[in-house]
Amino acid sequence: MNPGLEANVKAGVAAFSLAAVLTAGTGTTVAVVGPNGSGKTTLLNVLAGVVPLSGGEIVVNGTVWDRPADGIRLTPEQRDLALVPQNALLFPHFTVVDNVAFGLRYRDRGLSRRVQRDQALAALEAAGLDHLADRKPNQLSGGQRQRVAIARAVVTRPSLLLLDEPLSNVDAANRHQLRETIDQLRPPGQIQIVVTHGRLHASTADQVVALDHGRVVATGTAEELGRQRKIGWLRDMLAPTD
Amino acid sequence: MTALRRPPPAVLAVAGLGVLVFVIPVVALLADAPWSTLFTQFTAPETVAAGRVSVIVSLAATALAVILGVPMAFALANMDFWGKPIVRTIITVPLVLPPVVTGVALTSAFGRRTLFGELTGIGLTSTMAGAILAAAVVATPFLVLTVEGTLRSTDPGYEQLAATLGAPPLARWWRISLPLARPGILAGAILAWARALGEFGATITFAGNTEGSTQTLPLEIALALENPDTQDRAVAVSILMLIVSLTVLITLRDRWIPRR
Repeated sequence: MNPGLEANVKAGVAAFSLAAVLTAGTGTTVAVVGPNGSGKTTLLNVLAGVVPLSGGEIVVNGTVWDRPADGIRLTPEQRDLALVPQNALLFPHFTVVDNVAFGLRYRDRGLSRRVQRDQALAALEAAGLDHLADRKPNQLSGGQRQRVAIARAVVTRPSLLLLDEPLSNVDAANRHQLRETIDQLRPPGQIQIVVTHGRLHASTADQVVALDHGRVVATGTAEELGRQRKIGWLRDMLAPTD
Repeated sequence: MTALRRPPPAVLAVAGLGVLVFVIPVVALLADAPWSTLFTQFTAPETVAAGRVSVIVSLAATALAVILGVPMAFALANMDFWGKPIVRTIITVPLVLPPVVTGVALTSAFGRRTLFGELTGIGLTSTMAGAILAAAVVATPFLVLTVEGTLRSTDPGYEQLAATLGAPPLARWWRISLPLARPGILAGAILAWARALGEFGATITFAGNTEGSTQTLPLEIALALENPDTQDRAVAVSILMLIVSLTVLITLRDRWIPRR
């Protein structure tokens, strides 16, 4: 078995078509960058199983998650992953701590309710939000909601963590802490795919994949892509500022 | 609400006229009321019996509408299947059909001289179960349409996200989809209850007008209105229904339906 993620995805959503190849070794982080409408979020949804593949395959640590040619398609709940959506999407009728504990109930069936809650509280503490545990999502600021969404995903310690612009609503002061939370709760071997607009997140990734119009237009380290001359927006985004 | 959006005076005048159409009958009803004997009318044995039947029938019909209507609304809102437009039309046809026709249709299906009637011995005509079924059939479309509307405006992302967190289909429905639909279900249940409480045509056609088992308040009003001696009771019971409906609508709206 090949450890890591091997994805060769073809998918269509309405008039948009995505055709991309993405590989990531275990324990690595891939940053996905690209202009609006380039297919970044669709790529995450395809990996999550929310959007079906029309061709190609997704293989994670030797397990086929999706391969239409063989009729194989695991549902999202059958895939060992978690997703942080761009707009947080906290369940409005649950408290903050119940939101964070939600996935533990299904991903780790041996845990008692009490342990689920304790782990959720620990994740909230790491995100600096344990004092808000019993609030409802509508009592939080946008940035706080985003941090809860991150805690809710990372607490389940999935093999594949998908983050859609996780720091976009978070102010600079909290970004650093949040990055630490994501790293702190990262189990060994976890693959992280991060859609980002920011240089900060891209520069710390092991690999950067640039998408445009649903196609991969460049792959490399942030440094390499910041030096290349072919794609202006990519160079502008990744070139060292100093 | 900006001043620029305020409708022009001509439109407001017609709107005012429209309000009058609703206000005048209510005022006339109150003017007609036998105020001195109102309480005795309310406590007349016929009224008490009809009130009891109305409470049981309308609540049971609402329960039936929720139990059957909520799953139907989910299927209609969140699924594509062959024949969906036909199914939706059939479910909602009691909204536009004269209730008496619904009553005739129910008699053809569950009356005494049907297969159902022969199997059960009596059928549902002239039984309280028949009155409940008649009220449920005319009330359920209100619930289905209300809940379906709520579901269509709910972000599908919540259910998808619950799936990516490992929740299987039934858990997603029970813990996420259903609670998110709660305001719509409550609003739909209130509408369905109001419709069931006022149901007349289908009930009298299918279930009949038997005191104590199928004679609801609207049926009692109609019966009382036919006899000059009991016309006062018809007006009194009408006022009773007006008070009950208004009280329930106002209290439930404020308590359970979140304002947007």
